[in-house]
Amino acid sequence: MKKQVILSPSQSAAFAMGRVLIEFETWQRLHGSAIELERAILIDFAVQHPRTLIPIAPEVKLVLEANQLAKSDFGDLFAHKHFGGMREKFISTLNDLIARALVVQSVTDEVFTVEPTNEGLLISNHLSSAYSLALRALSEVFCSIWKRRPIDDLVTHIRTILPRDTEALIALGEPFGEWMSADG
Amino acid sequence: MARNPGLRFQRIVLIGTGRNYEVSLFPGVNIIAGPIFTGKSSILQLIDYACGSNSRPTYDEILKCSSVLMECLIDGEVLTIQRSLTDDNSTVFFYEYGLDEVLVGDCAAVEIPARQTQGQNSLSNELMKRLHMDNIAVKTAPSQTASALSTFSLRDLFFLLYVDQDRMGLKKAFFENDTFRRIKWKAGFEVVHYLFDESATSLSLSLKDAENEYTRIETYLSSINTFLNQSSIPKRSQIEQQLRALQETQADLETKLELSKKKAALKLGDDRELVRQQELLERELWLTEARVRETQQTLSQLGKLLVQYGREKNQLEFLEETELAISPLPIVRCPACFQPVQDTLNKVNCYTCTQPLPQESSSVAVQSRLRAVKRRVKDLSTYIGELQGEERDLKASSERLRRELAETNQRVKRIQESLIGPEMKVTLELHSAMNEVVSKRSSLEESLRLREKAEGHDSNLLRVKGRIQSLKEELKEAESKRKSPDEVISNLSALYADVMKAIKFPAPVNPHLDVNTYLPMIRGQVYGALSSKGALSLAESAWHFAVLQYSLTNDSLFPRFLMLDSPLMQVGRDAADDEFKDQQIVDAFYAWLAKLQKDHSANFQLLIVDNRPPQTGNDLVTVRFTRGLTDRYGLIDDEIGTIELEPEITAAEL
Repeated sequence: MKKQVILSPSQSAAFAMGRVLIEFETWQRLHGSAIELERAILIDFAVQHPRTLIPIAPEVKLVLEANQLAKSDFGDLFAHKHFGGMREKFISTLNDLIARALVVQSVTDEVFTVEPTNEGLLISNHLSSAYSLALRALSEVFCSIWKRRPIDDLVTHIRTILPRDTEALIALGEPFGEWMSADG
Repeated sequence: MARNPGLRFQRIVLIGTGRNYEVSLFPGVNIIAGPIFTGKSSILQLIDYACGSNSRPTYDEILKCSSVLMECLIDGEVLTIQRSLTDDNSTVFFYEYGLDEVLVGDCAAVEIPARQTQGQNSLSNELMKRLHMDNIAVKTAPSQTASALSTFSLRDLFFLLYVDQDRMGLKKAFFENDTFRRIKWKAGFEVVHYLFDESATSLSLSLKDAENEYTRIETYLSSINTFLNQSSIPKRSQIEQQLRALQETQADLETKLELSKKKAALKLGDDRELVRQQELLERELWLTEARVRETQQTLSQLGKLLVQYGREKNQLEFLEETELAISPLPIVRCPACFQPVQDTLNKVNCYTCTQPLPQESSSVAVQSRLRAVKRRVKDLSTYIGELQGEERDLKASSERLRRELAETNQRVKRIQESLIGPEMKVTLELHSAMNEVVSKRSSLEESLRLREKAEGHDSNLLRVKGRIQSLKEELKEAESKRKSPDEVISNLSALYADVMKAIKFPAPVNPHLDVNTYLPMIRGQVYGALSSKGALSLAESAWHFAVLQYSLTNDSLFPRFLMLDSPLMQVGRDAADDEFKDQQIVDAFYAWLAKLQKDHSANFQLLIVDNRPPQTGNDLVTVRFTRGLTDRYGLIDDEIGTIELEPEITAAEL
């Protein structure tokens, strides 16, 4: 197995902030409005585990193939676990973005909403790596198909199709050779 | 040869309730006289019972007694025999002591069967041993050359020693009607007169065994032959002939088979190289395909790893740009309370909520890491490319080998079909023929073994037959060497004639013993032809007297002891036949007894029961019962009973 890379808290935070900023930017671009906090959480989860959600979002499959993300990895193994803690992580990332004045939050009709600031949009647009493009493409898919879906339905739907950990492990296939896991 | 030491009975004691009843007997003639129902015959019966007879006196007076003790004398040794009268006890108490000592109760006895018992000591063994007549085996079927044997016993001897009143005067007094007793009686006669040949008996037994063996082999052989005939198994000569033919055939087939194999080998010749090449190609193809599979498996795994590294590369690139874009941005609000952060040098904690503010740190040098990953991806991609090239080459090799192998297989097949095929066919046919020959041969050999077994038994049968013939000849010779009975019979006949003359038997024309049957003959006929009971009694008594007299003067195993019950019944004034009414016959009878007593008094013992002996015989009377109140009434002399005396029996006569 390939050696796991350990990131610092700031690196992890930066990684997450970049992903979430892209998601906010995409929503802003597509719909020209702030996004509900709950919906944003779900879209962020979906962007992180797109293969898991193919059963309820078949459109994702083409995007995955186009961006060479079709091969499954160990990330899907923990989708079920991540779903339970996604709110806390998202709030933490959101707070970091707010701390840097990249995102603002507001309450519209007693619903919390968030949207990127101009600086946030600027930085988001500067993110242009292949991974950024893949994230942006995935965000577009989920921001489009989940624009008007009731949030409760989305939660229930996602929870029902999350695979059990063992099933996901079996689906991964053969382990890698030892020499491949050595770092160069 | 030797004489018998002699058997004497001295005392008889009946153990009664409160008292005992005793009778004493003496050497020589003992007349037991007295009226009827006084116990005279009982004395003889008690002697017979004590010596093992199954019949015991059943008179009430005697049954009141518990047991009978009998003292006898053999070769100077005093012995006492005690037997119970109260039940059918088949055992006796045998004392090597006199009766007085036994009555005192001071001596030990041995309880032994009264009659001869196989595997055990018995009274018969004890007495016959002392009479020098033990372990003599006699034929149970003497008319047969081969016969089973039994040991001559005391009971067998008593057929000669004792004539009870039931036998006396019978037309067949010598067991002519009883084959078993007749055989024993005759054997006894031969034994006592040394006419019995033990070696002949042994040969007879061997002959019987040989005949049994012959029968057994014959039966077994018959069953084998029946089986052989039913199974249509040919004769030995035919089997051997067939076996020889099969052996030749088998040898011929083996030669042809060898030749065929050589031919096939020669034809294969260079093509053998083709077969080797075929094997090599098969092996190479197998190896190549295995390498292809291995390469494909490796490529699959490497592909997955490449995907992993590719994804990491993308993620690292994203991290790099977000670090550059976002991390340097100043914290303007506290992420916990969202309050603006004071622009001071110390930006560790929030001034408002005192929560720690995010700090910059990098555990992973993203750029170096990214470079490493890119290098790894590149190396992996290169290696994957090489493997894919190798896979292509291997697949091409595999394909080529497969084609070559197919061609080689075709060539080998053509050769086999066109050149080797016919030869193989011949070889197979030869093998099949060989198997058939081997199978037939095995079957014939089995049949031969059976025939040989039967022949073996045939020769056994001949051998046993020869042995039987030899034994018969030996037996014949032994019997021819046996002492001729003529001399003995001639002597006995002379004595018999003397006795008959002495006792004044009326018209004793040519009295003698038959040389074959040993029976008394008179007036040219066997004694049984005599009409009156008196004549029969006299003739039978005279025969026994002759035997007794012979034993007194010749070598004989006869124990010089005789018991006759009422030999003078129907002789004298009470005789039914006028010819035997003459009292002179009675007087002459007693005169002969007196002469015998005088000549041989201590050397024999003769017990005679007579109701009314003449006065001339008084000296010979040793036991007299009177039924009188003053003299001894009877054997049980305190049982006087209520029977009237017969008028002719008066005190004067007593």
